[in-house]
Amino acid sequence: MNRTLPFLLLPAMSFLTGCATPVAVRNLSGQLVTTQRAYAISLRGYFAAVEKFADAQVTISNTRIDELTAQINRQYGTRATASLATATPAQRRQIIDQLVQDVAANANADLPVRQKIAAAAVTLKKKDQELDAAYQAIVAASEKLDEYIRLKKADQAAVDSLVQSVGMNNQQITGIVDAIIALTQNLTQTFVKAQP
Amino acid sequence: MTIDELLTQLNSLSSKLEPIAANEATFDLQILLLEVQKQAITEGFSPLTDLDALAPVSVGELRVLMAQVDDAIATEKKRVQFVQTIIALAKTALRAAGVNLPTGL
Repeated sequence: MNRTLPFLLLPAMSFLTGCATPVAVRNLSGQLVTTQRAYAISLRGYFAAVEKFADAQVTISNTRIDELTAQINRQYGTRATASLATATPAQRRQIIDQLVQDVAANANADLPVRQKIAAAAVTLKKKDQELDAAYQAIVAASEKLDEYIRLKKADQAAVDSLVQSVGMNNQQITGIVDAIIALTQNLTQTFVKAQP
Repeated sequence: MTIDELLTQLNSLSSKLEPIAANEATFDLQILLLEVQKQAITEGFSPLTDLDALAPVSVGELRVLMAQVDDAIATEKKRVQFVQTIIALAKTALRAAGVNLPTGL
């Protein structure tokens, strides 16, 4: 009787306190953190690829804008040359001044266009960084929760200490608790049947 | 009409006008066509500027709650330490009182 009492009490304590986090919950929590860490790496890789693509597009666009600007300048040049052919000396001065002014204005007009394109790429990178930082915070929060889930709780420590002392493990406790539950159910059914 | 469609039509019109007369209007049309192409390139980046309108992900509350979980973890660790001390003390007291504890307890 003295030896069987702890064997019955300990599983009951363990069962009733219910403080130990179920293995399935700990496993899910651990796997969630692992998956989120892997996802964070993929996300960074994805952002890096998209940013490289955006940088390439900026370069291509700037090159194309240079080509268009040169084409526009050629148009101004062609018009000025045609006008110069029949112009008086006074008109020639005016035509050349106009050409210089048009070419300068054409070059200046490119500046806001280039800035707009560069700003768009910067916006993309800024947003990527913001999303990355937010996801890192989400991963950190999951890790913190996981740390708590894996933490040995005070009640669990007490039961573990007693269980360890009598040479039992959690699997045995679960088996014994199951047996007690089955026995209780059988007894309940027996009592119900025995009632008149 | 999209910018691409507009560009196609302008190019077509420019090609039709060029052989007829190289006058000021044709020149203006050519310039306009090239400017539209520049704008089309710039507008290609507009969807990226829309990213600014996306609401930032708020993680401030997560950080606050994480600090609270840190406190809970610290408290739980102290509780475990306390329980272990009590159990050790109880074992010593029981043994001192002459109680035969099971082997290993």
